[in-house]
Amino acid sequence: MRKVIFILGALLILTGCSSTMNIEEQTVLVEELGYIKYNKKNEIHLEYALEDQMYINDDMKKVIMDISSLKEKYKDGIDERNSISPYLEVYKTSVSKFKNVVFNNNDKLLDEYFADIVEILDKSIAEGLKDYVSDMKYKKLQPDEIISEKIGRTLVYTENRSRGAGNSIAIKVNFLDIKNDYHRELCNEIFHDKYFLDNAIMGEEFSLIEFVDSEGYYHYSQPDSTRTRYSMFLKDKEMEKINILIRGEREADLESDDIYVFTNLINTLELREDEKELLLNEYKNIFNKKLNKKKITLDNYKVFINFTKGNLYGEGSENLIYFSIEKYNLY
Amino acid sequence: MNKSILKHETRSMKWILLLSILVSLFLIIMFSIILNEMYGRMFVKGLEGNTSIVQNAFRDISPMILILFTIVSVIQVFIQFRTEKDEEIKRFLESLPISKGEFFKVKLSTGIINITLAFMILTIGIIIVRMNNMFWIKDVYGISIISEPFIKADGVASLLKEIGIIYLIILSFYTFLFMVQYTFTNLVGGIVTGILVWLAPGFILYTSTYILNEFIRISALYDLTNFSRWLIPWLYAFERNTIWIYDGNGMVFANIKIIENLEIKYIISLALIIINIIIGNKFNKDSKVENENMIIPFKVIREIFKIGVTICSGLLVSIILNEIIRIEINNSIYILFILLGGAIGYFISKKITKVGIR
Repeated sequence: MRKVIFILGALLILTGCSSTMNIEEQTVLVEELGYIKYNKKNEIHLEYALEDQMYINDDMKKVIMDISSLKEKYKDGIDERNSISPYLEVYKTSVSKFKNVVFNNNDKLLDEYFADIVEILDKSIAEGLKDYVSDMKYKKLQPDEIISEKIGRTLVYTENRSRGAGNSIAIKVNFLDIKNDYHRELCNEIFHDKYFLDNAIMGEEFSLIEFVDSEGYYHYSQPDSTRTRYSMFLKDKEMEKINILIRGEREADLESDDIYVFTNLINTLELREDEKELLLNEYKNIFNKKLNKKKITLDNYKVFINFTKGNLYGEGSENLIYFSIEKYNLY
Repeated sequence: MNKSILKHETRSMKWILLLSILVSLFLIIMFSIILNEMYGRMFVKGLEGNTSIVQNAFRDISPMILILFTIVSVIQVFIQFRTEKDEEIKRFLESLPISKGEFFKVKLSTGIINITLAFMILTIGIIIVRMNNMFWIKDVYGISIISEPFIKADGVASLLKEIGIIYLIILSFYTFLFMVQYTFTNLVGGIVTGILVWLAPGFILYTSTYILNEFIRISALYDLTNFSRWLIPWLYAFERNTIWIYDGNGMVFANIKIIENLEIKYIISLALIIINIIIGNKFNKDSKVENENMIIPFKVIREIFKIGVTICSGLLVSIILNEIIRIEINNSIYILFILLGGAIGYFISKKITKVGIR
């Protein structure tokens, strides 16, 4: 009997301790969330944070209106439910609807509609698009071959899997620009229209702006090519961190545009000339390394390179290279 | 603690220990693969904020932890009691100058230590994998609209709490099967019955309120149906409460899922473990060699077994009629079928409990 009382006592003490600990910590979590929800100061911050970081400039608005006006012309041939037609009503819908829109010629009924869209884009943001599309339409391609090309602000990719005559052609375009003037200028300085703006958001600590190269912009491109994504973390006008995310085979080579963009990037950072050279060499030889991790310490930045094997979406094994440059004491 | 019994027990436990370690390593690898997949997704689709990466990855492997360690517990009980159920060996062990309590203590301790060791390896492994991935996960917090809830949800403290509840559920299941072994003379019969009895309270309450609901519709029955989830500890780790996070305009932009009533679940699981050990110890002390021919040596357990099987059989028939065959019959025939099912259950359980009784 004494043993039973002892065990019950121990149980009460043990469970008492653990429950108190859990209740306190769980409540803290809930209270904090409640605090965030109701605190006035945070509300203001949140409204600001949730505001879209991207906008549609006046030239783009005209392009969108022109595409939108095609709705009337093809109202009998186009199914409203068909996602192919972004009936773009600029002032009524969220700007996110105009991010990374894809037009394609897969549906035979929409051949004319697609041709009209190409015409509009050719005259505005993608000079030479019309000729390129007509060239690619009947180009002889291998069964799995994909050809992608950046024309103006559009990415055109051609595949040999069309249901009708000719190849399947898709045009991907981001109608949005970065809202913050300083950030927009900075990105122009780095990317010089070589990459595509993929995303721009604002978080509690940083604004994130992401740019991708042509291969990265098209998710399903050939596995033997390299794909690069730049994720830039900015606080006001300061570049706090840059992640350069590269995918590719071990023996792959970076393209000249990649080197050009990287050089522009390091020129915007507070680096000495020898530090810039060191980083450029690291970047150029990124696929020749047999390392898993590497850390480089610079005067104002710390650099971290991480190599991993990835197998994304059954595309075969490829290298994932995480190349980050961040200010000291960032986190 | 008697060294020779300890040696005997650890010898039979070495393979199960190896199995437990392999299971832990497998789960650590799975956790790492899931995080790696999320890491790879960042390369393709970019960085997404307002999400708890570590917690999401752990949530994906937690059913695996529960299922695999439930299987390990069953195998462990089988190995621990395999030799002891042999009549000759049992007589030999009883003739040794070592008390039954000593045997019980050593066997139980080695079992609990084995599961604890495996969970310690699992916990350390998961924390290391988390640590190795923090270099990119930190970026997710930086671009989240509010970072603190996600940092907390992904923290080591949250991980430990979630692993802790699964550990206690597994331990309560193991001690339950361990206790049942002292009430059943047949090893496999004891394990199978143990698993069924483990599920029986939840099944009985759920199905009986479900059936009653066919005849009388009152809200209390609905509450009782919901309460039946409390009677199945296996579900404890999966019932999560969604905490919605709102922006300044009252719009939901993210959510975090935490295990509901965690502290109460800790108390129940701990209480179950202790009760199982106390009852198991009592039956161990009361067991007699002359009862070894009976399938269920204790009268009180025989009665509980008969009542339980009778009720469950009746309820099983009703579930088959309602959910599987989906036949529409009038109430009196329906009740007749339930009674018939119960009667069959009673007949079978009576036959089983009579085995070995002279």
